[in-house]
Amino acid sequence: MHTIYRWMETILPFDYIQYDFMKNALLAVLIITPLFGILGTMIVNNRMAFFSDALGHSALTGMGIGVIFGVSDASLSMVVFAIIFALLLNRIRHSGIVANDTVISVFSSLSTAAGLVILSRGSSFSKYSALLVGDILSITPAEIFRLLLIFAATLAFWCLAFNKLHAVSLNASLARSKRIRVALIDNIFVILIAVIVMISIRWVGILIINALLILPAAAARNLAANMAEYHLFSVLFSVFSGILGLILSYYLDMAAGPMIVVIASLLFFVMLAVRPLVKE
Amino acid sequence: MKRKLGIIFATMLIFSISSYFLVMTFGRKPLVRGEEEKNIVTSFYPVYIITGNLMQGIRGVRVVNLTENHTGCLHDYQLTTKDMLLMETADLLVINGGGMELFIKQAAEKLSGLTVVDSCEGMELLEGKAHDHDHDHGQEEDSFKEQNPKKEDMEEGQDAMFREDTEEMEENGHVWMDMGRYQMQVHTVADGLCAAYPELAGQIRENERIYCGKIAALMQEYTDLKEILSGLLTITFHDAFIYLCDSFGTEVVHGIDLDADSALSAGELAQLADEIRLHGVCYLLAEKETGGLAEQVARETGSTVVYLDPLTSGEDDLDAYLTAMRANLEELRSILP
Repeated sequence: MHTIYRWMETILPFDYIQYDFMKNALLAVLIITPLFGILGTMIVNNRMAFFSDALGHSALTGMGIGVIFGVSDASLSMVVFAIIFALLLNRIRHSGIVANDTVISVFSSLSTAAGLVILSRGSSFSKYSALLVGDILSITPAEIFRLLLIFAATLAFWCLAFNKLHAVSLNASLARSKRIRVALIDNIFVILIAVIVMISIRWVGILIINALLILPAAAARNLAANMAEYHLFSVLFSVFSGILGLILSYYLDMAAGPMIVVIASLLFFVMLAVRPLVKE
Repeated sequence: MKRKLGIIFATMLIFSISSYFLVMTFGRKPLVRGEEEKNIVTSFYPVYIITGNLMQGIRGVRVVNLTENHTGCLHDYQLTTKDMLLMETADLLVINGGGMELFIKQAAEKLSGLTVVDSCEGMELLEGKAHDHDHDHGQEEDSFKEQNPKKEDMEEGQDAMFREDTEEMEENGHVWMDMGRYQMQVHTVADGLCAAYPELAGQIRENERIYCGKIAALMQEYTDLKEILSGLLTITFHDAFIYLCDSFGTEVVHGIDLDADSALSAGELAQLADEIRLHGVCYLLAEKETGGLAEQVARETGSTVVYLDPLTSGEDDLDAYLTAMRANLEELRSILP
């Protein structure tokens, strides 16, 4: 880690980089933001914005279950619950019995309420309120390494299964006719979202994690004409928002996560405004 | 593609330049520390006042409070880059301890070379959110249980389920509200400061003697309150008041920490009202900001609300603790029989 720190100090001769917590936060941003940029493309494409939002809210229940069973590492119970939650929600969503937005809203409301019921037992919810906004400044090298592993796994999945995933998102019936295992690909994708959201939620926060997933991809969609552009622009917007938001939060003494979201939102509106210029 | 990338990079450039001007106009100036300056950072208000008193009149020392003086307790405090920066540039961090600043403590542990002085170290702490069932309820409680058997069973079951969580939750760090314990805090912080700056030990010890003398004088002035308050039954709406009650021998029948809690459930409110009626509690100790609920309970049960200051925030004045504590004691003297 010291080598990376020294390397960062050499290429970034700025005031903020002399502090280890800023180096760690910057490294985390450099891993989380491209990850979110990539994932966001398919979430926006598949109209799953509220799906990932509901998933974020399930973190409260996941943590509550961890508290009930005395799990020392709350991340574990959060990830396990989020995976079950995502698979169940996905199954009901695809059954066609209930409208998509209704079933997501039901799951979202239930997971939030159940989490609040458990965690506010004994009026102690304030202990967990940090989960709402997150804190990227307290991330440790070990946690950055964990994020890096997730990033590598996502890249591997994207390289191996992107075409199939894209086919499923375009037309599930067509994908089936091409002998693509639609349910399997879709479930792996939602599991991936569940794991990434739960691993990053402590650093990003329940209230804004979905914004980070959606905004860069939504901004990129305003300009992109094909998948390559879509991915490239989304990652560019995501990384730029992350770095600028972190640096601004340092100099303006404001929370990092919300600042990143503000930058990403502004980018979205600018791209929305210039869309007619490039998409004639 | 090139045109689109051109638009994107031009937008990013405009954002970056705008940000630069934003930082130049509103941004924090770089923290520069003098060669001789000793930087002491305190976590929040009570320890800031203690440290300020101990380092009073000593040159070349800078005492900075990590949080604003009006932040209050740090139950759900979020660290900012400024806080991390202050801790990075500090050579000593004085915290209250007792579970009050877990978040800051965890962050501070990651910062190498930063000495942390825990003002509660070695101190016996009371439990927070006290629900004291140790006192003798006698026949009253038996009949109460008979009337509410399911509720009692459910409570026991839940207690078992959440035991681990509750044990951690019940540590009460608001020790400064007991003037005796506050003096111990002063001594512990003084020891930490003397160990860190042995060359200043003489001045620190002198300041410690003067400040503890003022606290002792205040305690002496209100010794008669102990006779009035001893054995009185109260309900507290802030964990800080549990220590105040403890110092005067007042019994806390039930405690709620509204400072840390977002909301109380209907069940908790009902339980509270039952406790007040069961024990014949007359006084509810609450702070003004969260007094609405106490007023509601008082109307329901016919009890009286006494408004006190938990001293978690206040003015940037070295005598602020003594002034606010005196006001609390006067409030108790004027309202209680």
